[in-house]
Amino acid sequence: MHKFSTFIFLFLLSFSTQSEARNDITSFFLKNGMKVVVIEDHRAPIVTHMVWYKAGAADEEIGKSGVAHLLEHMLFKKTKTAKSGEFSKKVESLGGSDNAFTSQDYTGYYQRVSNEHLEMLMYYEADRMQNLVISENDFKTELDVVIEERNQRTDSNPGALFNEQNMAALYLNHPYGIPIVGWRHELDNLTKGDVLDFYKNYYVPNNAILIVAGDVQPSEIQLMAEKYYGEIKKSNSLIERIRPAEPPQIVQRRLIFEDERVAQPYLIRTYIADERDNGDQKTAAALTLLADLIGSDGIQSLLGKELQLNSKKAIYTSAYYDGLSYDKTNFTIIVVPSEGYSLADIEIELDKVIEDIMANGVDEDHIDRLKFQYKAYQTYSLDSAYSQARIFGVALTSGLEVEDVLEWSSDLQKVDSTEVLNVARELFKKEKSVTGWIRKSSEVEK
Amino acid sequence: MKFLMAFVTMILLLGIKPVYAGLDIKELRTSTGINFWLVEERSLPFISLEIKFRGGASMDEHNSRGAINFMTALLEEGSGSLDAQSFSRERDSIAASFEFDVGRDDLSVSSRFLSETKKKAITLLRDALTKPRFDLEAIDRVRKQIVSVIESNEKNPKKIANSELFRLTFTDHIYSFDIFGDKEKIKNLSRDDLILAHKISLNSDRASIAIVGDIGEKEAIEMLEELFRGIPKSSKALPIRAEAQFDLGVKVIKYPSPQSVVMFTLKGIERTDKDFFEAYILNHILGGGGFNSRLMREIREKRGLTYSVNTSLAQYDHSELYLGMFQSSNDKVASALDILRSELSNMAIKGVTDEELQAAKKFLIGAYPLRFDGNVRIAKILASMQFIGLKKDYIESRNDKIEAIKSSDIARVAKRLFSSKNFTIVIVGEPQGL
Repeated sequence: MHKFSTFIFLFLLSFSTQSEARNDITSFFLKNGMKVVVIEDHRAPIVTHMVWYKAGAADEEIGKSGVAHLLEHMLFKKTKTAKSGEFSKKVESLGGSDNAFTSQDYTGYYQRVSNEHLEMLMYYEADRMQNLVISENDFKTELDVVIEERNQRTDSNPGALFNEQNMAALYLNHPYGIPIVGWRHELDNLTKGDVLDFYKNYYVPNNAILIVAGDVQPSEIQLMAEKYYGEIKKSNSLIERIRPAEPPQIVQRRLIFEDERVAQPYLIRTYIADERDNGDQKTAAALTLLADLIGSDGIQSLLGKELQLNSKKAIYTSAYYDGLSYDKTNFTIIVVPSEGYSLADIEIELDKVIEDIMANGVDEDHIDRLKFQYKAYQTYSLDSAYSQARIFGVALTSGLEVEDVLEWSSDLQKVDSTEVLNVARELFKKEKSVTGWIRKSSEVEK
Repeated sequence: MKFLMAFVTMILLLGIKPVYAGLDIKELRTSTGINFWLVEERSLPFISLEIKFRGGASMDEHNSRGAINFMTALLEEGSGSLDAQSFSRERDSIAASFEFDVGRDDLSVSSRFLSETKKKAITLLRDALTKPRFDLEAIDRVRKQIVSVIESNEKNPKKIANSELFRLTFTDHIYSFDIFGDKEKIKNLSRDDLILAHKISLNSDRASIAIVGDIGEKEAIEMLEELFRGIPKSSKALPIRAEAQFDLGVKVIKYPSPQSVVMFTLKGIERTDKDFFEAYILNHILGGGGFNSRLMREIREKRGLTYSVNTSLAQYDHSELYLGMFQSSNDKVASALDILRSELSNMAIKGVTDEELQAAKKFLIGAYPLRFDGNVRIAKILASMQFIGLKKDYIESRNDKIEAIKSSDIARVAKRLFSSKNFTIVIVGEPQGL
């Protein structure tokens, strides 16, 4: 994994405008090492303000799963000077919206308001970066809320429960195998101290990224950001982000999950896959197109064409890959068999399609069509400043730089059928995969 | 996520400050009599086109329930000389996207295409709307997918709760049934049923249309003339008003889960009712306002009994509800319900504080302009405005109406909305101690 080198740019205060094709993107560092990205969109007087921390669930201490996400909840409580919920109320009084999200690799906070209120957002966001106060009572109630969240999103949903076990089986050693929301038994034992430790270690300006998107000027953002965020002391004890690595995976894993709430049986195959790296996104670009060729393009995709359109052995097929990840990511295929076909039958059919790709290669015309769609998507994506801000946030907390985001589109355009075939050969190794059968119970399946 | 807006009903269109000097809406009409709104926005080389056809799933006959949704799922499965695969290849090769969606009262078409390929995009979309092939191969393939969705819904606690609530509330009216229809009926629908469904649900005189993007007046008019060539006028009457039943008490449906889903409804309020805006503000304060609503504060923030709770005024063409939903652990659901009941009666008796009223007004006034962000979003809003009968100048007068609302009116409407003691509640799970 590329080591993120924040400090090199410490004194680089002048703007470094990226790529001639996108003069709407500006990025720079504050004097304490906090990175800033400005995305200009002057169509409407609105601004999205986001602060991202390069800290997520995969950075938690062993045995403390759920801390990163619980901390995200606590950030909506009090600080030394602000009352519990004050920031959200303030945003609401302006007609704005706010929320936050936690993933394995990042924790992000955002607000969206009319652009004249930006300074107020910076004031409060900078405040909660340094001055969080957790009362015993707030901690207890919020832990209950998080347990309800886990109940709602995971424990009430067999698909989500399986996914948790699937990740645990796919990653033998890396913390991506531990759920973001936390294992229930570990959540129950979390303390206020655990949450504060995580906060002190990671919520520091030299581990944070500010993204401002909308009707703003980069020069005004720089002044404002220096005033509110630039004054926060940087941390000299920031822990280097090195997670336990995966050992060689040499055994294919098979999971059978039975739950009476499953409506119909389906199969999920998940492979360990390379992610996008700083300066090296070629493999990820080819994997992205491979996922589309196999399954994310409806009946144009190979699985859709073979199993849904031709043989009718499946009612639904899909493939999914997202290269935005700090460490090794995954490539997932889902197949829902038609009535009369068992999960064993459909697994054979899936393997046939995969073997066929390896033997006969992929269709260059199809790749060209997909590439044209990605080119168009570049245009469409400019319609939402919020989505753009979010893409930069995820990328920059996943080990990438602004340049990588800007080059991604051309990286995709450079992919050809030979490269797709090469990454397919590297990817489709059973010993690096988990095959899951999800069904009601063994009796029901025909 | 800090909180999850789990409950999406119809977007209500309230006031907007005249912040959008840039939003120049033109009301236009084609030579063939199609009315539409246009916003010319040249900064990005693409066009967003939104059409809402009135009718939607409410046009289903009892004996062919689900036919409208089924038919809609087939619009992209081949048309004119193109079979399903050729159609999707053609669409992908110009990177256009067409989304068809069926609601209780509308069939919506959301499309997005590049300026450079707009001619071809419109031809494809026109063929999808006017010459769907309904090939038997596609019918059978899509039929299996729909049955599969219905089977999934039957196992999904939220969907179970929602279906039951509508079944109890609307008894015989078409609203009492799910948009997807039921499994047995779907299995028996014929190609002729789908052809009929097509004829009665895509009609030129029932279309609300908005175009936003890289296109001028003349071209937009030509584009719509081309698109609507072949779309017939309506031939079937819209359904009659639905008689809704309220105050039906608590119904529990057993479902194995650590958590119970609770959905409830009270009597709603019509959009044209003189008390509508008061009700809208009241809902914002009670449970519509996200994180800072009363219900979120009392049930989640103070007591940790749920992850999210929300309420909404739901408007349909032929009825209206006041809906709410939350999820709580089975052992906590009774306490959460107690709080819900006491908050409702509190609201009926004491109304809201001046501080709450001011905060709600500020939010509603400030939030509206923030919605007008992006071609796709603007097109959807403008089509919805026409759909619910609002004029474009409504955008400017709206905030004044909200600003003018008095606390005495709020108190009166709170009594009207929240006085009922036994609203209808559906609980799916294994609740304890009710």
